Parts: sequence; C-alpha cells; structure tokens
Amino acid sequence: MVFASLVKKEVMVVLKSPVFIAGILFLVVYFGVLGRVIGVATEQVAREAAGSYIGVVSEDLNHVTQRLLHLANVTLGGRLVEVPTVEEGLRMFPAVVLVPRGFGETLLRNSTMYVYGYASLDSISLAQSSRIQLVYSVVRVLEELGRALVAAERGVNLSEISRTLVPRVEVRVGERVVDFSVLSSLQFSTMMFAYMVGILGMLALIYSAQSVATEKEEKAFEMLLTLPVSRTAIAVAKVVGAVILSVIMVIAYFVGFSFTLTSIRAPASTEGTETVVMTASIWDLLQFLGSEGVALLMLSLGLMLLFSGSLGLLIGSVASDTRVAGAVAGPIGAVLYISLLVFQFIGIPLNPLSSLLGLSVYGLPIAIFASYVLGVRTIALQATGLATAVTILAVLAVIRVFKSERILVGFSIRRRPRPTG
Amino acid sequence: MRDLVKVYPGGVRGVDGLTFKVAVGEIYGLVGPNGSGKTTTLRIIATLLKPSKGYVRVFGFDPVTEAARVREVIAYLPEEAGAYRDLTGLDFIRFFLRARFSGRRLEEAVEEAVRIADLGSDIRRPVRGYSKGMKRLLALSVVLASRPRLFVLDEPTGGLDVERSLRIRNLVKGYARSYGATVLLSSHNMLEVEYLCDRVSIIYRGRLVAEGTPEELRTRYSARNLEEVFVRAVGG
Repeated sequence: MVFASLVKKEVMVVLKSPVFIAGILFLVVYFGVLGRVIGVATEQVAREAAGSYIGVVSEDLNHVTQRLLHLANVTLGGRLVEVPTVEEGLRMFPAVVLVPRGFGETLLRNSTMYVYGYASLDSISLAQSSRIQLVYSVVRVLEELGRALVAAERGVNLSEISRTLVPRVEVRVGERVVDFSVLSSLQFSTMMFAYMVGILGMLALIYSAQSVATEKEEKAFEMLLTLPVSRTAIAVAKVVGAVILSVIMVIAYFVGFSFTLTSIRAPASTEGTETVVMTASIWDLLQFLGSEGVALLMLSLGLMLLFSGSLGLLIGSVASDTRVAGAVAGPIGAVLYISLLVFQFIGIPLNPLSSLLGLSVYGLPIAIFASYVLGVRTIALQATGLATAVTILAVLAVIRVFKSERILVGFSIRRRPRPTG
Repeated sequence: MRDLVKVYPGGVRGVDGLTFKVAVGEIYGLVGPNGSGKTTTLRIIATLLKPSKGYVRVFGFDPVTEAARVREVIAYLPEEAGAYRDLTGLDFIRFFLRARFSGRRLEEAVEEAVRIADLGSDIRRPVRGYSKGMKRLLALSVVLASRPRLFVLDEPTGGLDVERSLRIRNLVKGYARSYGATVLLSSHNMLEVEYLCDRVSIIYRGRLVAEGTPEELRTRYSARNLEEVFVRAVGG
C-alpha cells in the first residue's frame, strides 16, 4: 500500500506538471503529423516505383530480343516505352534499360548476358533509390522471360535452361554520373553523418538545459551570477561546456558503433550481381561535396551545436528544476533529431523553398548535401545564411535572458511568483 | 536606497517603498518575517533583480546600469547557498575565487577560504557528501575570502545548529572589524541581529517600520529585546 502510494507520488509529481502534459500533447501531434508526412512520401515513392514507365533503348534488332522486349512489356503492364537514346529516355522517365547489340545471339548461346541500366535521382536519399530498383525489376523479368524463350526455341524443358542477366547500372544524380557502389557509400555516409550529428545536437541541447537547471538546484547559481564575470561569458561557457560534453559522448558512441561495424562482415560478391559493400567511405562524400561543400558542412555542424546549446540554455534558464528542463529539452531534442533523419530518408525536392530547411538549423546539413550533390550551390548558401541568422538570434536571446532577472524568476503566465525573504 | 519598489511579474509587490542607508564599515541588519522583502532587497543590491522603482546605489554604482562595477565590490551569500555536488570543496573554493584573483593572490585567498571553512580532510571530498552546515561554511568561506568592500549575506546562519551559527557570527564580525568591510545582512533571528549589527531596520510587508541601533530601538519601544521591538513596531 505504502509502496503503491510512493509510486503514485513519483508519477503524479511529473504528470501534474503542465510542461510535461504540454510535452506529451506536442509529441502526439508532432509525430502524428510526421507519420502522415512520411506515409504520404513513402506511398508516393512506392506508387512512383510501381507505376513508373521505363525507357528501353534496344540496339539489338535480333528477332529474339524484339520478342523478349515485347513479352517483357506485356508482363510489366505496358510500362516499357521504347526510346531512341538513353539521354532522351532519362528526360522522360526515372529509369532506362539499354539492351546492347548482339544481346539476342548471346542469349541463345551463353549463360551470362549483360544489359545497361540508367537511373536518374533528384537526391541521394534512400527513398529515391527505389528508382534504381526499377532497373532491377526489368532485369529480373528479362532474365526469366529470356530463359523461357530459349527453352521454347530449343524445345526443351525450362528447368534445363540457365541464364544470368547482369545489369551494369549507372546512376545519375543531378548532373553527375555516380557509380552504384559510390551512391550506396554516399547514402551510408550521409545517413551516418545525420545520425551522429543528430545525436551530437540532441546531447548538446539536453546537457546545456540541465547545466542551468542543475546549478539552480544545487543552489550555486545565484553566487555564480553575482561574480564579477560578464553574464555573456557565463552563458557562452555553458554552451561550450555542453558542446564539449556532447562531443565526448558522441566519440564514445562512434567508437562503439565502429566496433559494431567491424564485426559485421559484408557478404561475398556472387557472380551476376553487383553486391554493394558498405564501406562507409567518407572519402566519397568529401569528393562529392568538394572543399567548399565540406567547409559549409563543418560550418553547419558548428551552427547546429551552437544553436542546440543556446536552445538548451534558454530552456534551462526558464525551467525551475532539472525535471522541467528534461521534460522540455528531451522532446524538443527528439523532434529535431528525428526530423533530421526523416528528411535524410525521404530526401528533399531541390527548389528555392528547400533553403527554408536552414530555418530549423538541424535541416541545414540535409540542404547542403542535396544542394552539392545536385550541383545547385545557391540553395546551400541560402540555407546556411538562414541557419546562421537563426543561430545568432538564439545566442542573442540567451544573452538577453542571462542579463535579465528572468534567469531567476522565470517566465510566469498564470502563477504568481512568491517573493522570498 | 530610497523609495525602493519591486513588483514581480504577476503583480506581487516584493518591496514597497523601502528607504535606508548603510554607512561604510558598519554591520547593518534587515530583520523581518518571511515574505517581508529582505531577500528581494538583497537580491536587488546583488544585481540579481531589477528594481521597479526607486533609487539604489552601492558605493556610488547603480546595480542596474553599472552591474559589473557593483559585482566587483560585493560578495553575495544567498539564503540557500549550495555548491556543485560533484566537485570537491577545494575545487569549489578555487573556482569561485579564480573569478576575483589570480596567481599568488589566488593561492593566498584559497588558503584563507580553506582555513575559514575548517572542514579538515573533507575539503578534498565531493560536496555531495557534505551536510547543510558544511555547505553553508563552504559558501561563506568563499564569500569572506573574496574580501569585498560589501558583504551581502542573506540569512547567514539560517537552518544551522547553535555551534555553527556562533562560529559564522564570529567570523562575520571578525572580518568586518579586521578589514573595515561593510556588511548588509538579513535575518529573522533577532538575537543574531542584536549580537552582530551596529544598526537594524525592521521590515514588514516590504516597508521599513523602524530603524536604529539595537539599543535605540529597545529604548524607543520600551522593549527588553528586538523581538519585543518587532512585535510592538508591527503590531502598533
């Protein structure tokens, strides 16, 4: 009975906090909206993949090849459209398959054949990769139908025919041509970057929020504020301290994750398929971004940490204790972090509105990736400008709060603060 | 300080037209019940709160527009001063004194604070293991070793046992006399104020109801001690 009462007290003291309730409501609404956005985006991608037309360039006039393509088109519901060149095909369709000269002859004689696949992506997000799957879906159909055709030509049982169709896939991202394995590596490293940077930002936010709240609880804050030290220095030191702590923690995460990665063995390449080995090559990413892109990415990292630290400090400054600070900083950090990963996953369309991602600061690395990968650097520069402005505003807000008495009395909406003494 | 008014966000009047002046070198006490405005007044002087109205000067400096100058001449002991629980007492002392001193002078100040705190080997242990009295002594040691021109002490012996209270009173009095520092303290312990203070203000509901030396007040209100003075001054 007493224990139940104790547990009830533990729950109620938090549940009755308006901040906690507001946090729950916010999370429910936010993730409801976010889930809907992801759902719509995923549905759209799936619909696009299922319903997309695929261009076919046939260099081989052999009747076997023509017959095969006709059958494939019927099998795929008429989604194969013959186009004169790969370039024209990619202007109209997300993917093009090129059947080379001599394909039909090879199909009849050899067990291994080659076709060329081309996919055009608007970003390097994972969701966009479904376009590459279009090429593979055509290849699988051609392979199966090819076997059936050969069996029919020879008048033998299908099981006696073995054919492997190897696709040589070239991916075009914006104006660039990227090897499929490099693309996978880029996707992996950008996801890893988003993952690590997101954790870094979230930790900086939580640590800085707690630094003020804890200091208030420890009753050392008032003494600190009356020292002959500028309030700006106190605030900036707290942000820098939170950033250092989060970097230490992320290094620990990274080291731990590296152990995990090294213990995962990539499957050996099998003949006839291009197995992608996740090399996590940061080098591919750096080459893609160029020195300017890398510099902007580092700047975005700095801005994000400064923004997170400042936002956390604002939360900690007005929070009465660590419980309230945690109840507010935790959900906000989670929202920012998950948003970063979601944007990275579904990709962003590259248009002038994309630069607005910079307003969230956390979205800046995504805007920079998309911008440099697709070769439209103005979006990255605009987004960086916006993120810089937002970060400066956050820092100025922190300094303003630190210089005001709000740092002690907080922000009261309904409750009247009780004067002490 | 003249006609000081402090209205908190939300409308509560913490101080309501308070006027008093503390002479250089004296120990001045603000006494009154909880909620009378003592802490609010001290926090305004310590640059933590901004007055809504009125005139305040600390050695000629305005706590609002010249807060940095005020912080250089004061050292503030809050009512519930604590310390960072994961630092040692020595770390805490060194951190706070480094804001005022450097080099050899810093080391002297640290030694002085360690002497004042008198915590023995506990000074090298994390603060989380300290009792309330030990934390109070630690905070006071930093304040005293800071050697400011004005000590602002909010309930310096609040919640402490008789032995520690006596030790702190002697330390405060000794420092004020030895270095000619000015002390402004608040307390609702009338005996403490009577023992320590040269002059006293009795504050009630944010207003000053009586001021003078303890002896003057006793005589004026025909009272045996300050408790009776308070009751008569407030109750009429």
